[in-house]
Amino acid sequence: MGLIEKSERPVLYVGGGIITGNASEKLFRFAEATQIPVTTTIMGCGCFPETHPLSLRWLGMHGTAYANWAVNGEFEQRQKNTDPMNKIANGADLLLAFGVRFDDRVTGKVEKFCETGTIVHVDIDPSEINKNKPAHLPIVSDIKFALGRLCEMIKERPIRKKFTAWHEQIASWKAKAPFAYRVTDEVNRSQHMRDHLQGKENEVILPQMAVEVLYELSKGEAILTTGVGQHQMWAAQFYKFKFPRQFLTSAGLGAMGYGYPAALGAKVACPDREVVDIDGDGSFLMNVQELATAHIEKINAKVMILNNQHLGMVVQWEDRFFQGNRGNTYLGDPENMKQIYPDYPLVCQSFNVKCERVVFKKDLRPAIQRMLDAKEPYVLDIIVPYTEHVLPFVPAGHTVADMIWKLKG
Amino acid sequence: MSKTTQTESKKTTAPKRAELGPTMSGSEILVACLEREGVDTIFAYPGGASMEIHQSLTRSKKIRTVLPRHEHGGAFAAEGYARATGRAGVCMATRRPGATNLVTGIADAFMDSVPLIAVTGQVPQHMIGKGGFQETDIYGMTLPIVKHSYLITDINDIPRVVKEAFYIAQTGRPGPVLIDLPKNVQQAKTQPVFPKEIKLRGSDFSIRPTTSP
Repeated sequence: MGLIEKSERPVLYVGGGIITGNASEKLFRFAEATQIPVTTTIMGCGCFPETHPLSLRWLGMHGTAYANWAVNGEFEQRQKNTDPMNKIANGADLLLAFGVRFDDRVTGKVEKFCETGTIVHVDIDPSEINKNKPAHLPIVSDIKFALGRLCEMIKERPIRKKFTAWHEQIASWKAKAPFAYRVTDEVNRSQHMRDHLQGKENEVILPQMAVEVLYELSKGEAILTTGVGQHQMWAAQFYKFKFPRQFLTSAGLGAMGYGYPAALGAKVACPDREVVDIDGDGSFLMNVQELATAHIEKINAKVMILNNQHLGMVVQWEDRFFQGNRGNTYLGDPENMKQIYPDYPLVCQSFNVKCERVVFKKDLRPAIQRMLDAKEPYVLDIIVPYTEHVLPFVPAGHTVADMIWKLKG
Repeated sequence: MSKTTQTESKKTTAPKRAELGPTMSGSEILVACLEREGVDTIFAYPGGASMEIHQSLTRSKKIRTVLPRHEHGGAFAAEGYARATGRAGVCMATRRPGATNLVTGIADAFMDSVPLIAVTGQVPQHMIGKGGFQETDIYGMTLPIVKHSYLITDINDIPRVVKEAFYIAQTGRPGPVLIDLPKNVQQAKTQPVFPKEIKLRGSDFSIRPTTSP
């Protein structure tokens, strides 16, 4: 409590522990009472409503630029990682790390993570304390108990501080760098346009658009599962999670093929909720046999494939670090690139599962609505360009000063 | 976490005192134990070493058996169940290839702290170590990626092991627990004693803070 009173720029960095510990409600009360901004890990998505003004959404490699700045401080973007780091604005001076494990995808170069802040780490697993990042105040506790105690203490002795300057700084960061996308020249020049759009270039569907439309049509209340890769990041970026246990994803292991079977499991557990698997064409194919399970067991889980015919995330790294040289990352048929391969509508037909392919933007919204309205398993094969990169992007092992966040062209 | 455990134990039908059941086979005891833990769904792919348990599952009125088309899918589906509810997801597979196909799901549950119970059929005890058809040391193979694991060698251990497994998977920092059950133990018969509670030394997971905040 003393640390909060003393700090000027506190940030709550919370993770999956809040969800497994059933502590979301307590976290909400604590954040509202203290007015401390909240950023979550991917595992923590939904433990604090992302629509709340105090939410910084999620941080890390592909998280919001403003969450990364809020924790680490804002720096001039440097060209090489040997260049000096020039600070523009200060980041957190107090980091309340609750139920998190300082994963490398969150911290980047861990020595530079929240370098100037005092770190309070609360976790139930003693082996996590000081494992990846030394904490100034380590506490081993059930997080629900700890947050409950903090809430009681605040009731007795309310926090007077308003952190006004800090909230203004964060607001300006939020305005400067929200999650965004745009149809770039690169998309217009791509093979995708030539092969699949057939002269209707203004009808291109970007993967981010599809997630946004799903968010809107499902009123932000669906349970989402994902595979692993670009689609996973876009699902997390463009869907705003309101409840815990709403976003089920293979975060730590990163196992492709996770999305569809996990959606089936979630639907069995919660038959009254809408369950949608946002998947990539590569990930979906890894457990495509589960279409049979869905049909035979009558499990009404939906799939939205963001099909770019590539292993998108590896392609993105190839573009950044290997001058776009493709090392076995094209998943289509090299001898017939005009064809979408494999043909998911045909695959699904053999499983007796309904499937629809969408190529043009004008068809996207009604198709997603049809998918949501269906009373049976339903697959939507959405054809998107392979040229999109997930931004922001902090390359592995780098710092926030190396974060790529401005859209090209 | 303690709250979850409480609601969990309320849901189970376990009586207050340890209870002696009728004479049953090992596989029937396992299914009875799962029912007592409040399991309503199991994602299981049958094979030679787990078909006994599937036979028992067909007679269960409380458990829905979902047949995935690959053990990989079964493990992930059980995880999806667990992540969506917070209750342990249960998946099952047969010996070697079935069991190794569960490994990715177990690893995933370990990394993301998901409560998962993985049951695997094993070759009969006298065949363990002989490299017989479809034998694999799934216990040893998964050691670094489980919160705890069991190889049941005595039919009388089944009720205690299952109760401990659910307790360990769902309390403290949740995680996967493996139960490997040799075929001869599934087939043996005994009168099971269902414990009402279990005591694990040094694992009171309802940890209270060591430092005052």
